[in-house]
Amino acid sequence: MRSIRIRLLATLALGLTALLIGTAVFLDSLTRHWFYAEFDAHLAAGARGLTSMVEHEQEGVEFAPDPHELAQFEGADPPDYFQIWHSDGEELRRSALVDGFELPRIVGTFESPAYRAETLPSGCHVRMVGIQFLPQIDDEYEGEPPSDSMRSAVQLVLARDTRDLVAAIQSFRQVIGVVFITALAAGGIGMSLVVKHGLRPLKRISDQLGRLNEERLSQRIVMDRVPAEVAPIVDTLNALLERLESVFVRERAFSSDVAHELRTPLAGLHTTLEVALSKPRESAEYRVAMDDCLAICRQMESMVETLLLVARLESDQEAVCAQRVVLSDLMKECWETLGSDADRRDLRVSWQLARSTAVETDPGKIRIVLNNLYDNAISHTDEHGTISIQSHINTKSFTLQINNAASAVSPEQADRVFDRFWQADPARNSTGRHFGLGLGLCKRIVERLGGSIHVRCNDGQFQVRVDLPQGQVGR
Amino acid sequence: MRILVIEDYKPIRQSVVKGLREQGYAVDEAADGTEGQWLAVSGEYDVIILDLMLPEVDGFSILQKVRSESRNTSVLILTARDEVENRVRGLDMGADDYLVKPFAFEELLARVRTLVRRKYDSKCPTIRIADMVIDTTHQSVKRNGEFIELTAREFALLEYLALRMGEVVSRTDIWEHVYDFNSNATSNVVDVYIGYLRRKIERSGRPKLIHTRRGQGYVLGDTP
Repeated sequence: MRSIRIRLLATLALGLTALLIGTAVFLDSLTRHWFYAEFDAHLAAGARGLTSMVEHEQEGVEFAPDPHELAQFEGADPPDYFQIWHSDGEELRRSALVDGFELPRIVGTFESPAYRAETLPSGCHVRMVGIQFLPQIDDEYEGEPPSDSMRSAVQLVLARDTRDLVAAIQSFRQVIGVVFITALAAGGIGMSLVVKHGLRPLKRISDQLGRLNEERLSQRIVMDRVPAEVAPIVDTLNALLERLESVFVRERAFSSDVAHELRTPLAGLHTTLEVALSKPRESAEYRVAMDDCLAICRQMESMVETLLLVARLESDQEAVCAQRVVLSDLMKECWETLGSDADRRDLRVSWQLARSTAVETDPGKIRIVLNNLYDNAISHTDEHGTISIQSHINTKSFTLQINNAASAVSPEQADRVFDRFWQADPARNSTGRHFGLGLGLCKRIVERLGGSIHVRCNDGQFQVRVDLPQGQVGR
Repeated sequence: MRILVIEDYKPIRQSVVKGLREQGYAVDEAADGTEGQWLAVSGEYDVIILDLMLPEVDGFSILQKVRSESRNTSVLILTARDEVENRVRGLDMGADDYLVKPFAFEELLARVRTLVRRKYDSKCPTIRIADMVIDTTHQSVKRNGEFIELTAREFALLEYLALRMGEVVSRTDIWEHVYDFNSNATSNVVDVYIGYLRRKIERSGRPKLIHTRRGQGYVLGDTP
C-alpha cells in the first residue's frame, strides 16, 4: 500500500538532498575560486615584488635583490620558484630550486599577469604567474636615462607550491561535508515532524471512520479547525455517511416491514391448516381450507412479485420493452378489468381523454401503473364519489391525471404515499390486496420510463399526475 | 366460555373462530374496530382476542375503552408487530397477554385457557368436585375414575359451572358465557343442556352434583 507519509518524506528528502548537494557544490566552487583568486593575488603581489629587484643600470638590466627580500621567496616554506629572462630569451636569474629544468615562459602584463597551474618535474604542483615588464631605472643611473622605447622588457615567472592551498580547500570541504550531513539529519527529523503534523487531520479522520460501524452510522466526522484542504473531504464523507445512514435505515425498515407484512398471511396460513388438521373432517371442509390457503398463497405471491419488481427497478435490472402505444386506449382497456369494483362501490367515473396519439413506451409497465392507480382510486374514493380520469398530450409529453374524493387522506399524508408499505389506513385491508407498495412501485416504473409522478391532496381531493415523455423511453 | 375475536384479516379470523368453536367456546367475531369495540363493551366476554392494526378504530383504542368501562374481561393481543414498545404499551394499557403472528393455534388455545382460569381465580387446569375430575386442558371428565363422554357444548357448560363451583349460576349467566350470537338456541336451551349433563354425570345412582335453585339458577357442588 502506498503511504502518503512515506512518499512525502521521500520526496522531501530527495529535494533536501539535492538542495544541499547543489549548495555544497556551489560553495565548493565559490570557495575554490576564492582561494585560488586569493592565492593568485598573493602570487602576483610576490611577482610584482620581484620585478622591483630588476633594475636598468648603466651596464644594462641587472637583478639586484635585497637579500632580506629575496629570502622571502627562496627561504619561504615551501620556497618559491622563479626565473627571469631578458626579452631575447637570455636568462637573467633563476631561483636555486629551479635546477635542471626550465619554468615555462608565460607572458602577462604587470597589471594583468598570466597564470598557469603546472606540475614540476619534481612532482610538485605549483601555481605560476608570468609578467613581462620594463625594469625600473636605477636611482644611481648617471646621465639621461633611456626612454621606455629604448629599454628592453624583462620576463618573470614566479611559481609557488600549492600544497597549502589544496590543504586549505580540503579542510573547507570537510567543513561543508559535516554541515551537509548535519543539515540532512536535522532536515530529515524536521520533515518527519512536519509531515506527521501535516497529516494529523487525515489520521483523525481515519480514527473517527475506524470507530464507525452499521450501528453508529448516525455519527459524523467532527473536527476543530479543519484545514482548508481537508474540509472538502470531511464534508464529502459526512454527506456519504448521511446517505449511507438513510439507506441503512430504509433497508432496516424495509426488512422489518416485509417481515411484518408476511407475518399476517403466514399466520393465516398456519392457523387455517392447523385448525383444519385438528380433527378428522369431511372432504368438503378440507377443500374449503385448501382454497383459503391457496388464496393466501396467491396474496403472498403477489406481494413478493411486487417487491421483486420494485427491487429490480431500483437496481436498474428491469428492462424496458418500448413500442408504439395509444395510451388513451390502454387507459380504457385497463379500466375494463377493474370497473366492476367501482360499480360495486357505486362510484361515478368521468373520462376526459386526449386524442388517440401513439406514444413510444412500455405498455406492460404502463399497465401495472394504471392498474395500481385505478385500484387505489376505487378502494379509497369516498362512498358514492366520483373518479375523474383525464389525459393530455403535447409535443413533449403525455400526461394522465386521476382525481378522486378521498377525505380519509390528509395533505400531510400525501408526502408519504410513495413510501414502501405506507397505507392511509394502517390496518390491513381485509381483501389482502393493498400492501402499501402500489404507489411506490408506480413511481419507480414511471421514473424508469423517463417520466415523473406527483401526488396532491387538497380539500379532500386526491390527485395523481403522471407525465411520460414522448418519443424516448428509459433513463 | 365466551370469546370475542376482533381481527380484520379474514383467513385468521375465520380459522381462529372455527378452531375455538370446535373447542366448545362460544365465539363472536368482528372484522373492524368499530364493530369490535361495540361488541367488546356490550357483551359479556371471558376473553377478547384483539388485533392491534384494525380499520376505523385501532386495537389500543378498543383496549382503552374496555378498561375504562371497568370490564373484567381478559384481553389477549394478537399482532404482527413484535417490537418491545408495542408489547409494553399493550400490557401497560391493561392487556393480559400478547401473542405475535404467526402463532401456533395450540398456543393460542393454551393462552385462552390460562386467561379463562385466571378470570375465575383458578390456577389449576384440573378441577375436582367430589369424585369428579374435570381436565380443562384435554377437555375430559372422569367420575370415580371412569371417563364420561361429553359434547363440546356440554363440556363448556360443565366447565363454566365448575369454574364458579359453589356459586349460584343464573340461566342468563350461562346463556351469556356458553352461547354466542350465532347459537340457534331457544329460551329453554340452558335447561335442556343441564338435563343432558345430569344424565351423563349423575347416571347409575351417582350422587347429584348439579343442584337446582328454583328461580335463581344452578349450583355445582357435592352439597345441595
